[in-house]
Amino acid sequence: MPLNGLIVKPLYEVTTSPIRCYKLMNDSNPLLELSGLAVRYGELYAIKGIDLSIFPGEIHGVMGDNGAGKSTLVKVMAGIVRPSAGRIVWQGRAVKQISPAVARGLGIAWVDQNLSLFDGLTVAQNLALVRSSRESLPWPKLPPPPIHLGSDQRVATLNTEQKQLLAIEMALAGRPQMLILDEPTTSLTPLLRDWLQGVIRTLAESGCAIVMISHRRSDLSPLIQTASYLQAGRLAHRWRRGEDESRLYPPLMEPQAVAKTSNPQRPILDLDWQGKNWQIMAGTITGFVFSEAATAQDFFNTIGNLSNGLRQMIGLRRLPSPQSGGALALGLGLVENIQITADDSLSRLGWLRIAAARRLVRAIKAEAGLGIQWNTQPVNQLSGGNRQKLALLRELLQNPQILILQQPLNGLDRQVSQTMAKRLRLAQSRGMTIIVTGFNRDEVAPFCDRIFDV
Amino acid sequence: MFSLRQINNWARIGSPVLALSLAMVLTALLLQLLGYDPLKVMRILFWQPWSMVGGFAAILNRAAPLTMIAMGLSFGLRAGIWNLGAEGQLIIGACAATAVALTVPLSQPILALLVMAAAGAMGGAIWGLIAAGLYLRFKSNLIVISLMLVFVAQAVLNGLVFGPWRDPSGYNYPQSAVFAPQFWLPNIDGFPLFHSAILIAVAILVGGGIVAKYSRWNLGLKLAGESSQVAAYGGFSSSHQILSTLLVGGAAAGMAGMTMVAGSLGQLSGSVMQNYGFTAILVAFLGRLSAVGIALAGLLVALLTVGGESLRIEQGMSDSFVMGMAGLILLTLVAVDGLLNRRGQHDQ
Amino acid sequence: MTNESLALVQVIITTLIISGTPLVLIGLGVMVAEQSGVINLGVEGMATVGALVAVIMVLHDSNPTLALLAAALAAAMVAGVFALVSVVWRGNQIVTGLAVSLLCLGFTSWLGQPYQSATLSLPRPSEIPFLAEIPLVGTIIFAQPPLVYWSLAMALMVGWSLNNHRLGWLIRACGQSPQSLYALGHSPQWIKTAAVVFGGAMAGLGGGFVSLYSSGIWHAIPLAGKGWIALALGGLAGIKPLRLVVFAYGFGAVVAGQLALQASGSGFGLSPHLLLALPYLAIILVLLLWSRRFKS
Repeated sequence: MPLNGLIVKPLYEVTTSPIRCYKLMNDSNPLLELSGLAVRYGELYAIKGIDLSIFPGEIHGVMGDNGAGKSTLVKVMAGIVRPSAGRIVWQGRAVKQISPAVARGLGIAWVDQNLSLFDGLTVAQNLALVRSSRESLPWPKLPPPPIHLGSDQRVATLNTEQKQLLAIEMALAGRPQMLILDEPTTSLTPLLRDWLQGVIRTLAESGCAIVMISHRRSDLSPLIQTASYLQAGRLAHRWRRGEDESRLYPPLMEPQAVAKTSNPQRPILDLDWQGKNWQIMAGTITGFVFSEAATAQDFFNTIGNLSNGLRQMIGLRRLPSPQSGGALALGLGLVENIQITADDSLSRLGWLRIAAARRLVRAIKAEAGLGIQWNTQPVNQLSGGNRQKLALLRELLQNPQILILQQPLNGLDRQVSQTMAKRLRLAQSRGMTIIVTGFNRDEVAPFCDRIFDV
Repeated sequence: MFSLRQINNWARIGSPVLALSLAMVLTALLLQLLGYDPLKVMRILFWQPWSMVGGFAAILNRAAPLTMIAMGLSFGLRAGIWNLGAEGQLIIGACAATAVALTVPLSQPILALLVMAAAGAMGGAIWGLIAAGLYLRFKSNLIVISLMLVFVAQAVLNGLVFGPWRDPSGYNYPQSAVFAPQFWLPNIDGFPLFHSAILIAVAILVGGGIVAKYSRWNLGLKLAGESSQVAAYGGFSSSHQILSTLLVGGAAAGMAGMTMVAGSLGQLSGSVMQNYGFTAILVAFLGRLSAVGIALAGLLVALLTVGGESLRIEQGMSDSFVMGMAGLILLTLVAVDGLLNRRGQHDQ
Repeated sequence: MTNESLALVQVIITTLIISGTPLVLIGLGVMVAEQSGVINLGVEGMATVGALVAVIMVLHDSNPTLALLAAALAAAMVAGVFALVSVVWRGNQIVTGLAVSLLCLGFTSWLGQPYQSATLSLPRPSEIPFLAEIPLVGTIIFAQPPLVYWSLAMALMVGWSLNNHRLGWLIRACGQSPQSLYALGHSPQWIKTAAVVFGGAMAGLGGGFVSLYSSGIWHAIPLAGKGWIALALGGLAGIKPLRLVVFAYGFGAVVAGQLALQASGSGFGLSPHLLLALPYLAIILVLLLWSRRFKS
C-alpha cells in the first residue's frame, strides 16, 4: 500500500532482522529536497533537471550506467560539487552555498568511491580529523565491525578492505543524519558487506537517511526502499519498493559470445589475457563488456603497453576513455592534440610535420565541424562530445590496422553516439579492425559484430 | 561573449604588460615613501641606458648570456622539471672553458674558441646531468639537489680562483690569469662595442625556437606539463625527459658561462656570474618560455641592470634595487596570472 | 688539555651552535609549511627581511627580544603575501617563491645600505645559573643567546604537535590530500596559509638571529644561502624536528670543522674554498641515503 509515494508495508526480509519503518514517511517532512538541480562542466551537463526528496529513515538507491551522473549527484548532496542551477532544501530551509563544511555541519556524511583517506596518518589520526560538533546527538548502538583496525596502524599499510572500512567508520564518526555511500562495497568481503547492511538498517531505523550507489544488485536489492535511475544526467525513472525492479538493473547478459557476421574471417590478433585466448577477427568490430573497472583497465593496459615501435609495426592504435583525461591535452591547441600520437605520417626523425598535422586538422574539422576557430585555441573550449570526436577522428584518420577504444561513447549524448557509431562502421567497412570496451552491453552492442562478456 | 579562455589567450601577452606596469607603480610608491623622486629613478632606469654612449651595446651584451640560459631552461620548465641549478651549470661551464684557455695549447683562434665553447657546454651539461642522474637514481628532490649543486659549484670556482688558477700577477684578487688573445671572443665586425656573444645568443634563441616549434621532443614536454597521463599515452618517458632537459639546460648555461669568461673579462673571476643563472629563471618565466618572449624579457632585465648601474653612479643607490624590482615584476606576473586563471575548482 | 686546544674546542662548539640555530629556526618553519603541502622557496628572502628588520630595530633601541619579534612579524607579513599569491590566487608555488626571494634579497640589500657595517652593541647573553659553571664547556653551552634554547624548545613543540596533536594531523593531512580534507569540511587554504605564515615568522627569527648573533653586523647578503640550506634540511627531516636539529648542528659541525681545518692550515691539502663545498655535499649525501631508505 503505497502512501505519498513511499511505502509502509511489505518489507523485504533478508536476514534475521527485518526492516521496520518506525516512522511513517508520509507524515514526516523530507530531510533533503533537491529541485531543478543541474551541474555543468563547460558545455556538458553532468546532471540536469533533478528533482528528488529524501526522507528521514529512507534508504535510497541511485542507479544508472557509468557516467550517468550518479557520483555527481551525490557529490552535490555532500557539498563537494557546487550545482550550476537548482535549489537545495534541508529540513525545510534553503541551503544557499553548499560546501563540504556546510554539508558536514548539517549532518551529511559522504563515503567517497575513491576513499578520501590520509595515507601518512594512522587510523586514529584519520578518525580524529572528522569534525565532531554533533557528538551530543543521540546515536544508535551500531553493530561492531567484524574486523578490527589497530588504531596506531598507518593507513598506507592497510589493505583496500580495511581502508574501505575506515572510510565508512570516518563517515559514521560524524554521527550523520544522512549518510551517502558511493560504491561502498567494491572491496568488502561478504562478512563486512553483511555488517554494513546491518549498520545501514540500524541507522535507517533510528531515522538516518541513507543514499547509496552500487553496481551490485545484491547490495541494493534487499535494502533500498526507493531508487532513482539516472540516464545521461537525467532522472529517467523513479522506483519504490513493490514496483517492478527490472528497469533498475540492466538485463542479465548471456555469457556466450555472439557472432553477427556469418562469413568466415581470418584472425588478426590472438590475445592471451587472463589465462584465456581471445581471437579478434580482421575487419570486425569486437566488443568487450566488463563488469569490473579494474579488469577493464587491465585489458586496456595489456594491449596498450606494447612498445611504440611494435605498435606502429602492427598498425595498432589505442584511445583511452574520454573520462580518463589521458586522451587529450586540454590546455593545448588542435594541432598539438593531433600530434600526441603522431606516427610516421605526422613526424619524421623526431621532427613534427606541421603541414601534415594541419591537413589532418582540416580533415577532422571538415568531417566533424568541432566549432573551434583557430588551431591554437585550447581544446578545453570544445564540448565533451566534440572532444571525443576529435580524439576518435585523430585515431581513425591515421588509418590504423587495429584500433582499440576504451568506452568511446561514455558520457556522450545519443546523437553524438550515433554519429560515432556510424563513423566506426564506415571505418570497418574499409577494412579496419576495431575493439571497443565498455561496461554496458547496450552501449556496445549497436555496432559490434561480436561481444565478449568478461 | 567574453569567456574565460579568451581572457586566458589575451592574458598570455596582456598579463606581463599589466604586471610590469603594476610593479612599476608599486616601486614608484615605495620610492616616494622613502623620499626618492620616483620619476627621476624611473627615467634613469628605463631611459638613460638608451641615451648613453654604448648603452645599447651594454644592454645587448648583458642580455646575451641571460637569454641563452633562459632558452635552455625553458624546455625543462615547460614540462615542470624544476632545474634551479642553472647558476651552478653556468659556473662549471665557465670553469671548463677556462681550463681549456689556461691549459690547452691552441693557437688557431677559431679552433681555440670552438674547443673552449664545447668544453663550456659540456661542463654545464655534465653538472646538469649529475643533478638529473642523482634525482632519477634515488627519486629524491630535484629542486634541492640542483640548488645544492650550485653551492658546490661555487666552492669549486672559489677553490680554483683562490687556488691553482690564481693569477700570480693579480694582486691576490680571486681571478685567473688573463687568457691568451686567441681565447677571447671578438666583438662583432664593424660594431666595436657589440660582443659576438650576442650572435651566439641569437643563434641559440632561433635554434631553440625552431626546436620548440617543430620537434616532437618539445611536444612531449608540453604534454608532460599539461598532464603526465597524456604524455605517457603519447609514449614519452619522463626519465628521458628529465635527463634530456637537464642536459640541454646545462649545456646552454655552460655555453653562457664560456661567453662570460671569454667575453668582456677574458679571465675567470670569483664574482663573474652575478647570479645570472638565477636571474635567467626569471627571464624564462617573464618571457613565457617562448623564444621571442625570452628575447624581450632578457632585454628588459638587461636594461634594468644597466640602468641600475647608472642609478648607483648618479644616485648612489645600490644596484640590488634592480634585483628587487625584477622580483617584484615576477611576483606581480604570477599574481596576475593566478587571478586570471583562477577557476572555480573545488578542492579548496 | 692545553689551553690552545681548549680554545679550539670552545670555538668549534660556539660555531656549531651559532651556525646551527638559524637553520633550526628556519627549518622548523619550512618543515611545517612543507607538511601542509607548500614548498616555500621564498624562505631565503623572508629570512633576509628578518635579518634587516632585526638590525634596524636593535640599532633603534638595542633590545634584542623586541628586535627578534619585529623580525618575525615582518617576515610573517612577507609570507602572507607569498601565501596570498601562491595559495589563495593559485600562482605557481615555485615561481612565486623565487620571485619573493629575489624581491626580498634585492630590496633588503638596497634598503640596508645605510646600515652597512654599523656595529651592533648587544648586551652579553646572561649565563644560565649553575649549568654555566660546568668546567670547560659550561660557559660555552649555557651562556648562549636565549633564542638558542628557545629554538630547541620550539623544535620539541613542533615535533609534539605534528605527531601528537590534532592540529599537526590537520597540517599533515592537508599536505597529503587537500581534496580529502576539504571533503571532510576543513579549509586546506586556511591551513596552508597559516602554515606558511608560521614558516615566515620562523624564517624571520632565524634571519634575526643571524644578523644579531652570527655576524653581529649588517652586510648585504646576511643569510648567504642559509635559507636554501634550511629548505633542504627542513624537507629532509620530514615530521621529526629532532632530526632537523641533528642535521642543522651537523651542518654547523661541518662548517666548524672546515673552519678549524682552515685555521690549522692542514686541510688535507685541499683548498679551504673547496672545503666549503663539504656541507652541501653532506646534504646531498644525506638526501640520497634518505630517499634510498624510504624506497626500500
